[in-house]
Amino acid sequence: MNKKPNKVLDNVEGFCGPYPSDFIDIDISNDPSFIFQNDTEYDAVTLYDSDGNSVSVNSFFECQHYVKGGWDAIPDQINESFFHNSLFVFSLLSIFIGYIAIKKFFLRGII
Amino acid sequence: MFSIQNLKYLKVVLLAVLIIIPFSISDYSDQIKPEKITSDLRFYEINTCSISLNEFLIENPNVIYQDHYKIRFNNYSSIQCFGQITGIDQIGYTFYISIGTNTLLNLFLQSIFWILLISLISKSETFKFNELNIISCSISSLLICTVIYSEQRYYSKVFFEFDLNNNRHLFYVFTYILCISFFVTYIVDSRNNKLINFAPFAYIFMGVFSGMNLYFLTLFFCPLGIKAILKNKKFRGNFVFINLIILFWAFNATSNNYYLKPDKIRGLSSTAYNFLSVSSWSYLMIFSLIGIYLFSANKRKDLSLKLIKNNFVITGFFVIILGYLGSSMPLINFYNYYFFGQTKFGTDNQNLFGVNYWGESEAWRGLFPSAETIGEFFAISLLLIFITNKKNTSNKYLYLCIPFLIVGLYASNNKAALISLVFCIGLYINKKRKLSTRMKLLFISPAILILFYFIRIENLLFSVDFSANKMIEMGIGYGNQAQRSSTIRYLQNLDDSNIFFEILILVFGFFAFIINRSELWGLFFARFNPTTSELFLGSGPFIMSRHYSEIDVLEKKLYTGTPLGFLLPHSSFLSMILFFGLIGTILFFFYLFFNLYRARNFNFELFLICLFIVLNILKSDSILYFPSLLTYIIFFVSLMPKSTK
Repeated sequence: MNKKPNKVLDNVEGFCGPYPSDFIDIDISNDPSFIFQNDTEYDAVTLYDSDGNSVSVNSFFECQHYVKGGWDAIPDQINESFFHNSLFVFSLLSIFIGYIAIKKFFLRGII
Repeated sequence: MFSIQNLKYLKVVLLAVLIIIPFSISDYSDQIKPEKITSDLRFYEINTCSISLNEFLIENPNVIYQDHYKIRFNNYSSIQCFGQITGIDQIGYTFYISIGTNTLLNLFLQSIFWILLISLISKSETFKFNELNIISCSISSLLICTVIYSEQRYYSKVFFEFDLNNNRHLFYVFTYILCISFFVTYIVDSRNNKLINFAPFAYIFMGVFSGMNLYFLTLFFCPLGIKAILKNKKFRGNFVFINLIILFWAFNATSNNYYLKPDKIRGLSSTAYNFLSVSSWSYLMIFSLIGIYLFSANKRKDLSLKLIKNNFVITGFFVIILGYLGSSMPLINFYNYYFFGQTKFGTDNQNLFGVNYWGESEAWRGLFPSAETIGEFFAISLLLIFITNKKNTSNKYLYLCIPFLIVGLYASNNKAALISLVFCIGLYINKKRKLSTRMKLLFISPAILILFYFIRIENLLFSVDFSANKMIEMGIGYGNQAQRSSTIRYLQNLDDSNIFFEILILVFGFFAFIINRSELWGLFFARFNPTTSELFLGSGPFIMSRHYSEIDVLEKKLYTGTPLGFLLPHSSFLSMILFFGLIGTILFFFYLFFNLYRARNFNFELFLICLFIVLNILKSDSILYFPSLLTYIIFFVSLMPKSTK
């Protein structure tokens, strides 16, 4: 198995499931007529691109190929994730600034 | 320099912004413009999450005031879809307009709104910020996260694209709750001690987060309880006992997994019954109860009957006005629910004096989830007006609100509250005027006459055997032969038991019959299935999921055949037996009656209010609603002699 950057590996495993023990990664970029074979033991996974188009993949190989190409979660999930990251930063900053503000300004009767 | 007065104006402006902006956000540059609402709803089925509520209302202003429209929340929406229309359905002549909201965003929006409101109350000069606050807030947030994790069945339906088995997501929730908890703790702690007199406003601002099983003020009381345990050695000593009892409750829940849809008792009822949920929820509730107790005990010297009466009267006025407006105007109903943090949408019954098919008065609850509890509220308001009558000369305009309170009490159809109000007024007159025996009879007789009128004379003509056994008969009727609760099995063989218990239960059954509780208490016993140890020690505070799920009872009412629905025990006494067992309940009521007895001489006014509350909670569910629980604890703690603080 080729070595992959951790983030890509996490994404692939996150969307497609764990790498099969007998998995061999083949470079198909030079083969425009390549056809993905269905794996009957693999539960189909739906992936999305940034425009919200969806694709259903039927083998681990096909799935990892799409994930590496940028297909991943539903745009809604990505948006939610972005909003939650923002709320998280907002919460941490609020606690930090709030703590300083209470300490610094409360006795002056400002807040 | 920015003056404090300007800051208050700024806060009011911010409050207005918070009401308007979240439901106005939309992509106004797109080509999608709202259409007039008709029975052809294709436009709104296609264009979901594209039109904000306010944008829609501008095109359809009739939705604001026509009562065949219902504006409802859809908490399972993306943050991007917040405040926008996620669909419209038509059932019969009624249109249901679904507005997308997001549970976790609600947590922030509602918190900011309520924090700003509390911050309008003037500050204490002596407040000192304590680093321990952050530690206690962190522990409390961790505890709430555990509760949320353990109640996955409930929360998975309200958290959009949020996996509670994902540690990162749990950490998000922890941070959000910590942030809100930090500010709530600061804002409530820093207000002056007169804050205790604002407790009646909790009947308007119930403060349940939309979509969550959590009250806003739990984020203040739980850290307060934790802080006391961390700080106080005496509390820490007693905490060992609390740990043991929680372990007992949690151990009994091992290998069970019952679920309860919390409905109108959301925020004060665990939705799950398993080891983790029982242990974490029990800690949360016990810390919160300790917090409420300490809050009341620390501030009770500032409890002023005159001030609290004024706030009761103002609140009563708004409960009626907002409740009535909400019943007829869908938009007010929607905003009432969201910004007051209600557990249930306000009533849509516009007839305050309605009667049913059999000519019986129908209870009207206004914006509160329970007609019975709001009836108690109106009666306490009237009692306070009566007993503080001569002391208040400051604001005569408040007396203009009295008719609203009388209408509220009448509309709530709470007969027990009316009888106990007349009874307490009789006691007050007797105490103040030192009446002769003849006059005593004259003043007490109205209460007795009203009592007989409501009980109905014909109900007293049944045989004692029939009346006393009616409750047991109903319990047997609602259960099924294949799966009887342990209580019903015991009650079925009552003749074999000790004569003392037999008499006690029959007296209880007779009492239930004359106050029209045979069916509800019979139903409670049909479900109540404790082991012997649970009968004595209970199954955990505010945990009803097992009670409602373990034993199957009939789904329709015995005599009318109408759906049973979610019927609460209608007795805080029975609820307490379920929560804390016989030992806990008897100790609690013994202590309560002991304090009542002691207080009757040194604080008669407060004694009367507490007596009224005790008489009423025996047959109402008021401890299951945070506003009444908070107010009643404040009154009870204020009644206790100062030496026992």
